[in-house]
Amino acid sequence: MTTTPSASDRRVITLPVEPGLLCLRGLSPRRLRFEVEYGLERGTTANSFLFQQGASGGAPVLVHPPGASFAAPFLEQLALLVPADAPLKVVVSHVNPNRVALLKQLATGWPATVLVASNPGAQVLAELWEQQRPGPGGEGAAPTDAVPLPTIEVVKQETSRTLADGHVLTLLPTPTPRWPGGLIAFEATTGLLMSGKFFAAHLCTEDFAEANRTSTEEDRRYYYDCLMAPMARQVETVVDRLDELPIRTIAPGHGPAIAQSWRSLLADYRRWGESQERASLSVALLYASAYGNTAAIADALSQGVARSGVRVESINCEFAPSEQLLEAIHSCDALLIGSPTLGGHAPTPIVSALGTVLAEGDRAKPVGVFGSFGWSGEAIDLLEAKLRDGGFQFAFDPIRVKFSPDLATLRTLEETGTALGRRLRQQHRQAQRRSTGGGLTESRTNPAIQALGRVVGSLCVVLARKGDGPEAIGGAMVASWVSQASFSPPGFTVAVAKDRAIESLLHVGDAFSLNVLASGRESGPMKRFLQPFTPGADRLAGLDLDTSPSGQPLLPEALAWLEARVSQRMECGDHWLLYAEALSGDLLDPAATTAVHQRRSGAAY
Amino acid sequence: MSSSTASAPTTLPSPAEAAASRLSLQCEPIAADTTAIRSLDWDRSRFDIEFGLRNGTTYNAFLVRGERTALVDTSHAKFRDTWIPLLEGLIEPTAIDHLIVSHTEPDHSGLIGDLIDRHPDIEIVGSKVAIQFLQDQVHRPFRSRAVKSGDELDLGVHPDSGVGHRFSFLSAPNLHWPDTIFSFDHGTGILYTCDAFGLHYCSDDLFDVDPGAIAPDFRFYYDCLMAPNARSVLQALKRMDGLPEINTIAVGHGPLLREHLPLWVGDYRDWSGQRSAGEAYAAICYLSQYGFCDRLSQAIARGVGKASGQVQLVDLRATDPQELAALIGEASAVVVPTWPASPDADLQTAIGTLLAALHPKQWVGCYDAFGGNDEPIDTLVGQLRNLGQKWAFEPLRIRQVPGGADYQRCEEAGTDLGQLLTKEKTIAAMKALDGDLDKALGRLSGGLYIVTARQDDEAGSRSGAMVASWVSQASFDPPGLTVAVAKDRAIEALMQVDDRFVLNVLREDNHQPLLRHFLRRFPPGADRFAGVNVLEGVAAGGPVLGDALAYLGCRVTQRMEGPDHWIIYAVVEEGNVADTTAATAVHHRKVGNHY
Repeated sequence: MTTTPSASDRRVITLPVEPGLLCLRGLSPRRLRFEVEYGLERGTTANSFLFQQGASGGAPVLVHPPGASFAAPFLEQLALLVPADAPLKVVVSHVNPNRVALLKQLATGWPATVLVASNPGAQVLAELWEQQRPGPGGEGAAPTDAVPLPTIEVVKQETSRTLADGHVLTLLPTPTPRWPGGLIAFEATTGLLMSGKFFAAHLCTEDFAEANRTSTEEDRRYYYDCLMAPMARQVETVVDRLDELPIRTIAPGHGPAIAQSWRSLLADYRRWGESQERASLSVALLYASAYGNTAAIADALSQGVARSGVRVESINCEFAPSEQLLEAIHSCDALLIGSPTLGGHAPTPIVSALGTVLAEGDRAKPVGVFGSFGWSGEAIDLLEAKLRDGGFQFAFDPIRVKFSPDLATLRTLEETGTALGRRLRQQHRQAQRRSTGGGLTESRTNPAIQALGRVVGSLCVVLARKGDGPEAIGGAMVASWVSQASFSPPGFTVAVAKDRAIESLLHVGDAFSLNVLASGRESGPMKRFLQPFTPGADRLAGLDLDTSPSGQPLLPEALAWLEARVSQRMECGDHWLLYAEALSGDLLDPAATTAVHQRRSGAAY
Repeated sequence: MSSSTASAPTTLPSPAEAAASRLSLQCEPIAADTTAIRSLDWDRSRFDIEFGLRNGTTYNAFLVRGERTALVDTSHAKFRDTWIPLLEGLIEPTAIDHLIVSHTEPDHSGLIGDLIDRHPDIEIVGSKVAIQFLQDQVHRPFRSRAVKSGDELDLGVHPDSGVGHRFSFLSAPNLHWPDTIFSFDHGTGILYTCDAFGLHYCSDDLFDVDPGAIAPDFRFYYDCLMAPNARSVLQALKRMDGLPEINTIAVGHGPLLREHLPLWVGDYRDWSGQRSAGEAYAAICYLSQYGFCDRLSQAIARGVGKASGQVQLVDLRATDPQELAALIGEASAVVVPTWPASPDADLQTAIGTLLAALHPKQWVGCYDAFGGNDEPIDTLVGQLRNLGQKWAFEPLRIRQVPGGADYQRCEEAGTDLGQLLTKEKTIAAMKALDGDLDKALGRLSGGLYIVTARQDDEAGSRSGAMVASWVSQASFDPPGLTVAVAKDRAIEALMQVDDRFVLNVLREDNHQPLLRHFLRRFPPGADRFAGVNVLEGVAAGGPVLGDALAYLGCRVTQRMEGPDHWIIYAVVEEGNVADTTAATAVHHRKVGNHY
C-alpha cells in the first residue's frame, strides 16, 4: 500500500446503531477527483457494519468492509471490537483489487475469517485473490506473502439467517453490470438496509443520518447520474425488490444514512431511471468487470454520453447472457468497448464479445475503444485493429489510460462522451428532417416555437473556475437565458444545457461570474466562446481576464459583471436552471446598454 | 360572485349533485382499537382559495375504543346519507360516550346534530369557544365538557387489546379556527389535529406514502390557512414538544401523516420560523362572533398583507392570557375593536392583559365592532391615548351595518399600517444593497410581457394579470420558460403546478399603452381587462391580448422557491406570433432593486 498525501486525513469512527450493532465509518474529508463520481468534491465515507454477538457467543458478522485505503485505521478499530481468534464472517459485496487488498489483511489478522459473497462475487474474489495488481511498481513488484483464500460461503439466492443475538439478517444478491457481486444486507428487527452502492452519496460527514431528504438531494442525484444511470433498467429491478422490505433506515456504503422518508429516495431512483428510458438514442458500453481502472474510464465516458440526453446501456461481458449482448449490439446507435490488458492479452469475455460485435454489428454505427493498462496495452491495439479491419468507423481515437485516469483525463473522457452523444443526436435530427422533407414537424415552422423565440434575454458570458493551482478547471459559455429572480438577497437564474462542460462547475455552492455584454460590442466575445472546443480543452487558456474579489475570472470588455454563488438548481427538460445569489458586482461602462438577443425561433439560442 | 349554482356548505346536497361530484367513504384501522373513517370528496370546488390545487379533499373522523368509546370529529353534511349508516354499522351510536370536537368548522362538525339526535346523552368534548360555537350551530341541547391544555380524558383499557386510551388535550388557537384543540392518545401515540398539518388531497392512500406527490398541496394549504398565524403554529409546536413521541398525526383533511412525519413537522417549524423571525407584525385583535368583528378585522388584515406587512389575527376571547401577552407585547402594531360595555369575567381578563401588554413604541389603531352594546369608540381612543400610543390611522367608526365602503375603508387603513411597518425595513434593505452590485444587476435586461390567467369552475371564474419582465426561456425539449413571480402577487395563486397561463409578449413599437394599463392600481373586484383588446377562446390558460406581438400558452410543471419570488417553470403548449417583422419590447434599467 503506497502512502498518498491524503491518507493522513483518513480516520475511522464508530457509530452505535443499537446495542450489539455498530457502524464503522471511514471518513475521507478531501477526496481528489480521480473518479467521476467524486465530481462534487465533498469527500466521502466508507460505511461498514459490525454485528458484535458479544455475550451470545455467536460468530461476529462484518458487513461491507472498506477498501485498502482505510486499512490502517479500520483494522485498528476492528481489533478493539473483535478478538483475533473469532470466527469472523465478512459479507463482501463490491469486489475490486482495493477491497481484496484489505480482505487479505483481514484474513491475516483474523485467520478464522469466512467470506460471504454472491456467486459472481465469489468468482471475482477467487480471480483477484491470486492476481498481482498492476501498479506503478511494475511487473517486478515482489509478490506479497501468500495469504490463502479463506472459505467462501456462496449466497446463490436471497437467504435469511437468525444470528445468535436475535438479529435476523437477510442477504440479497443484486447483480448489476458495474457491480456483478452486489450483495445487499437487510436486518429485520431494526429495519436497517445496508444497501452498499445503492442510494449512496459521496459526501463526508460524521453524522450517521442526513438531516433531511433535501439536504443530500444533489449528491444522491449526481451519484445516480454517474454510476446508476448507465444501467437504469437493472437498478429499477433491484429497487422494486427492496421496496417490498419493511425498511426503517437505509444505510448505504458511502455517505450518511437515510432515516426519514426513505421511500422518496426510492421514488427518485425510479423517476431518474425513467428519464433515461425515455431517451430515443442509446450507446452500448461493453466492458469487463473487476479491474477497477477500466470501469472508471467507462463511468466517465458514460456520464458524458448521458449528459447529452443519450441513454447508456452497460454490459458486463463477463456476466451478461449472450442474448442481452446481442440485443444491445442490435438496438444501440453507437458501441464502445473497454478492456484492461492482462498479461499482454484482453480477457476472454472481451475477446468473445468482440467476436459477436464483428459478426453482428452494424458498420454504420460508430464505435470506440478504451482501456487502462499497466505497462503495455495490447488489448486496446487488438480491439482497434480488429474493428478497423472489420470496416467499423471510430467515433474517437482509441483511449489508452496508464493506470488510473487523472483529473484532466477524466474531464477529457467526459467531454469525449458528450461529444459522441451530441453527434448522435445531430445525425438523428438531420435524418428526421430528411425523412419528413423539412415538413410540418420541423419546429421552425411551429407557431408556438416561433412565439417562444420572442422571449428575449441579455447576452452574457458565464465564466467559472474551480479548484486551485494546476488542478484548477475553467469553464466558459455564452448565455442569454438569464433573468433576475430576487431582490433581497439579490439573485438571478441562468439556464444551462445539461451537456455543457461548464455544467459540472455549477453545482450548489460553486461560484462563477456573469459578464453582461454591451450592445454593439457583443460579437467579439461571442465568437470566441461559441467556437467548438476539443474535449478537455481549457476554455480560459490564453485569455486576458480580470479576477473578482473571490477569485472568479472576469471578462474585461463586459458592460457589467456579477459574481454569484449557485444556491438552488431545478431540472427543466434538457437544461438545469440555476438560481444564484449575487455576491458582488460592478458596472464597467455606464454609457453602454445591454446587448439583447432578438430571435425568430425558440428552437435555437 | 353571487351565482345561482353555488350552494352553501351546510345545505343538503340534492342526489343529483352528490352523483355529479363523486363522494365515497373509506374505513380502515390505523392503530390498536382505532379506526379512521375518511369521507372522500373527489371534486371539491375550487371556489375556496385553499382548494386551489384542485385535488379534492377528505374529511377524516376517527373512532377510538377503550373501555369507553370516543369519536373524533364527524364529516361534512353532504356525506350524511352514507356516513351515518357506515358509523351505525361500526357501532351503535348510543355506545359512543364522547365526541371530541377538534373545532367547529362545518366540514367536520356537519353531522354532530344527527349524532345528538341518535344519542342525546353523548358528551361533547371541546374547547370552551368550540362549545359556544356549537350551540349556535346545532340548536339542540347537549351535554358538554370544556377542555384546555393539560386536561385529560381517559377512555380506559380496551378489554381485547389491553391497550389503555388516555387523551391529553392541547389548545391550538388560530390553527386555523380560534376554537381548535389537538388531542393526543397516549395508548397509540396518535395526535389528532384536524385542520393543522392537513392538506386538500383526495386519494385512496390512507397514509403519506408518496411525499413528492402531496408536498405541493401540503405547502399550498399551509400558505393559505396556517401562514397568517405562523406565531400560533410555533406555539402549538412548542406544546407538541412536551408530548411523548408522536408516531402519527391524524389530520382532518387528506392522508394521515405517519411515513414521513418528521418531514412535515419540520416543514411547519421552518416555514413558521421564517415567517415570524424578527419580522415586524401587526396584531389585529377581534372578538369572534361579536358584531362584525370577524369580517372587519379580516379586511384590515388583508390591507396590511397587500402592503407586504406581516399580520397576526388575535381572538381576544380564545387566546389564553400568556399567549395574548406575548402576541401583543412583541407586535409592532396593535389594532383593537370596541368591546362589549359589560364584558364577562374572561373577556375582562383578556382586556386587562391586552392593555397591560401594550407599550408606547407600538403603532395602534381601533375600529368599531358594531356589536350592539359596545364601549363607545371615543372611550377606547381615550384609554389608548393615555397609554401614549402612536396612531397608525384614524379610528374606524362604523355608524350602520357595515357595507362594501366600510370594508374598503378598513382595508385601506390596513394598507397604510402595512406601509408603516414595511417602510423601515425597505429603507434598511435598500441601503444594505451594495451600490455597485445593484448597478450591475440592473444591466440584466428582460423583455416586457403581460402574464394573464383565468380559471373557471362551476362556482365562478377567477382571473389575474401581471406585468412581467423576469422571464427567460429555460429548455428546448420540451420547449419551456421560467417566470419569476413575487410571492405576494395575487396571480401567483393561479400559477400552481398544472395550472395554465398565457404569456403575452409586448412589442417594441406599441407596448406603452398596455404597460400603463396593467401597471395601474385596480380597485378590488374591478375587471382588469376592461378597455383592453382581448381575444377570448384563443388559449386555454387565459385571455390573449390582441395588441401583443405574440402569445404563449403555458402549463406550469415545476416551481422553485427563491427568497422573495417563486421561479415558475412552464412548458409551452401553444402560441403564435401576430407580426413576424416586429421586435420584442425590452426593459432596460439602471439599478436592480426594482423591476
